Amino acid sequence: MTNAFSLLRKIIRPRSTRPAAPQTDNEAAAKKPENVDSTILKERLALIKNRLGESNDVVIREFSTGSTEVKMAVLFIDGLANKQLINDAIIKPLLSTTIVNHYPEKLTAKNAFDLVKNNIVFYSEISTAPDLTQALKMVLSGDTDLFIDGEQKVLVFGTRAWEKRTPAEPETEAAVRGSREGFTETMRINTSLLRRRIKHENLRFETMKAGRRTVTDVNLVYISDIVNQRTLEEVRRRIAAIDTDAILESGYIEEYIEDYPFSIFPQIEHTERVDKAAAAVIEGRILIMTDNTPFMLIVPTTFFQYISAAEDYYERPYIALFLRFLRLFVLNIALFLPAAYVAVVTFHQEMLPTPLLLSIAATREGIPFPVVAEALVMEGTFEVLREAGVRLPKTVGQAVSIVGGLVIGDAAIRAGLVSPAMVIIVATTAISTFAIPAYNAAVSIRLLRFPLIFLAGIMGLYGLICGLILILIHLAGLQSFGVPYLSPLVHGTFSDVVKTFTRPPWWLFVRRPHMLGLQQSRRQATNTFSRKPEGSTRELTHDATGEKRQNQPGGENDS
Amino acid sequence: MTARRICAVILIIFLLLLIPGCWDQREIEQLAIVRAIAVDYLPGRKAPYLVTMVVLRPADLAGGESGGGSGGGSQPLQLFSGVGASIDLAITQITTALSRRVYLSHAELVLVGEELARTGITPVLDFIIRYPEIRNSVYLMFVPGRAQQVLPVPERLEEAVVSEMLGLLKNAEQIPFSDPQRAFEFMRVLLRYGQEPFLAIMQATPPLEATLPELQQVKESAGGRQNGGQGEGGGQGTSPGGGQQEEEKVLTVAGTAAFKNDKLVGIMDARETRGYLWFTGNVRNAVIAVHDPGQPEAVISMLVTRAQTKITPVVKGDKVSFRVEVDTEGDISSQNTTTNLNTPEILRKLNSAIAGAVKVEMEQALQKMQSLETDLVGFGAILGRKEPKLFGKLHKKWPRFFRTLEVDITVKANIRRTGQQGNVPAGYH
Repeated sequence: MTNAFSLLRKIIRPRSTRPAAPQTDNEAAAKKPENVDSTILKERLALIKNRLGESNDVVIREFSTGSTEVKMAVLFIDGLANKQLINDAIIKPLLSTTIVNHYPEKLTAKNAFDLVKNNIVFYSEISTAPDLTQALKMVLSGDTDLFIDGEQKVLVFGTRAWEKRTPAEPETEAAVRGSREGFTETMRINTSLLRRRIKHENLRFETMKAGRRTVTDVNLVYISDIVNQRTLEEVRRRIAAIDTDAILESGYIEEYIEDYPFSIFPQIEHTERVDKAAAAVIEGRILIMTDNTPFMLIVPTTFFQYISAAEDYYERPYIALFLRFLRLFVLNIALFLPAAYVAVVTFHQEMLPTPLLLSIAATREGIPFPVVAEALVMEGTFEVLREAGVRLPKTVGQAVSIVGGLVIGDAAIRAGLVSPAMVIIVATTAISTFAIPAYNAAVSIRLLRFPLIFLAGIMGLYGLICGLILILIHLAGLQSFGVPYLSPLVHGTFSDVVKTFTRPPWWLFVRRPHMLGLQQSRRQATNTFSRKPEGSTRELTHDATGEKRQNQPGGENDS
Repeated sequence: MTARRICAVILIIFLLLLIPGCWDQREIEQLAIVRAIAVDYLPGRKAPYLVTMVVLRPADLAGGESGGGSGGGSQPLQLFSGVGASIDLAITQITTALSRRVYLSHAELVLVGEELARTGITPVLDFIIRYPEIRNSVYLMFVPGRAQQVLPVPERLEEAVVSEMLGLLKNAEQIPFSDPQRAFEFMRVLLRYGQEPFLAIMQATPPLEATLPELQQVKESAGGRQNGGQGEGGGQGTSPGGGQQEEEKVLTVAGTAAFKNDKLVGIMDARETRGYLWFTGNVRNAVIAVHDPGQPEAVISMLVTRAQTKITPVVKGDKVSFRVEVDTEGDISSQNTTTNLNTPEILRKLNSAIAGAVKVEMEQALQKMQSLETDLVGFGAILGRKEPKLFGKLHKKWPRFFRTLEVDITVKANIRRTGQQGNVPAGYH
């Protein structure tokens, strides 16, 4: 119960109990007399109760301490703050007479603030809030306030400690080789994950807030001496310009800051892999961390980032080269195969090899629908099956795949409603869609398939090419934070092109992408390949005389 | 401004949908897929062109594929015939009897009947060029007699007779007994001065068993036993298969139909065809047999692995002659004697014997061509390239000139691999 509440608290942190108004809280407070902040503790606590309401997770502990009975109060949100720590490090020393009276200075209302802050409490992370509004904001983030009677300033202890998910394997971007750590919903854990990978002093976490009611923390992560300052400035400007009540996921931010809001293509890449995020930051991109979501945004994004996967950089370069071209191919299959099939079978039968034509003709025999209708219906059916499988619990999901795949697919063929060829096409397309590493890119491909099938159905290959040209025109016009979307094909150096479509060995990765316009482009010296040791490698296993070393396990077998 | 642009884009997309339309749309199941066309000429009729189309019935193909039921008896191919004053008129007549649209893009074979070839095959070529669907790369084949008659010949290895024919053609390209021509190849030569076109011959002939008397007897007894086992024997005593047995035929591709312009002038048999092919150097896989120089009663044969032919015109004043140099290499492919082939003089003798045999073959082919007055090799074209002015004067009377053309043939043969068998010491086994 408390957990659920604290989570909800964490997500919705009201700035005030009043409905959101365009004017700031201070102005509003000035207008309403009952909301005027006071240094008298009793009035202050009443005001707090008024502003936070009767929520049962708000904890206020009043007490007085010292020989002059200075009145104090501790305020925190149960579930967000570490109660144990508050008891041991804040309340206990304040209530202990031995500690309070230990100091030569007597604790009075006048010196209480400094004495408590500097001497009495056992706490590392202490800050000061100038007024109640600021103090309340921090309490709602999980900090603890200490109010002292007669003092305007508020002591704030960093006690944030709520229930967190530990870093787990990123499910959306699994890899055979590579880090198993994924981001979590907790910003602090996420920053630590990144900091652990990039221990450089220039790694920056720049905090911004977005969302009037959710007051979501947004961190810009970059390396200050690599990042393109103008891009960074633009990201700051766009995030600062967000004026909405809630930011619950990084998807919100993505839509607020992307360059072309009506484009079907995703212009900002996201990841929950820590290693991928770290690589992006080191490459000079900017990571936008949003609190409460494991998905980090990476800007600027180019289209061809979607054909690369984190694992490309860990396996040998050859397989990465192969996989990238495979993914490009698969991307085209996913986009064009059903449309091309429709076009060729309804308009351009002469383009098929005769045996293929004959077998297609044989399977089409007795099918009641034209090929276009067949294709649209089958693709639609597949989308329904996929959607049903995604949203259902895993146990029921299997039933869906059996009913969908076996019963409907097989029965439809046996009943002569659809041709086996079409089922093969749809299945190939579906599998190709799954082979695209980025889910959001695959979604746009899936959507574009339908208009293309339609165009192919009424105009054949001509229509298909028209569709392709329209898509290309659109893609060529897109930009992401000043970088053309089709970079490095339209902008960038030859080396960028090579690095995009192949994955050179690491020791050849001398420069960062030119297309990002970075402060420092050089990553490493030209010749960093750890070649064989001085002399010959034979010396590693053989003595100078040429005899094999005795303790080499391989050597014994040979002799 | 933006609104206008959006309107313009929407309008363009709308026009894209409307203007091209989908009238070219044709569902695959509404097509009568024609695999082969046979064209015959029936002299003395008003509508002399008889066109027979081999159309595939996909439903049957599907039934056969799924392992359903017809035990090889059902023929997925159907024949449709029509007559007309031209080929397309004949096809129009066929469409009246077809439930589907005629679709010629996948026709791979055009068979030309003898009568049509004699009157000129220009109508066929015209049809191939003009009709948008049919490809220029269809194979043109000459059929002695009526072209239509080879279509009902039962297939042997392939699933349908057209596939059988295509397989024969593909295979024939590997063997130098014929040279199947595609339509564009034929037309290219037809339009060339100083060279005449030709077609390969496809024929339905009785199988070897039916022609050799020794085999005939064996076959009859075998067939009789078979029929007896089935119960009722043949009604007539003479041959158990009845009429069927007599009609049994197999398809062969061999020989060349020589044309002069677009008209058939004569037939060259398989051997003469190979002689002709030596002029083009296209004789890979030819097997040349000669007498063993050591034991003249036995035969040694060579498989040709490489052949190169160089034809050069020799012009001396008014007199034009040609020099043909053939350079060929090969392996010994059979030897039934114990002659040691690895001795230089035996090899030299063998080489010259083979060269002699090739030369004889070529001379016979040349004689045949000269007697038909048709320059299949293209001596005229070669002369035209070398001596354009001289050929410009000659080209109108080239066929008659060709008849008495002097051609000097020299053949060099070289055996490269004799094999190990000949090296066995005499009396070893």
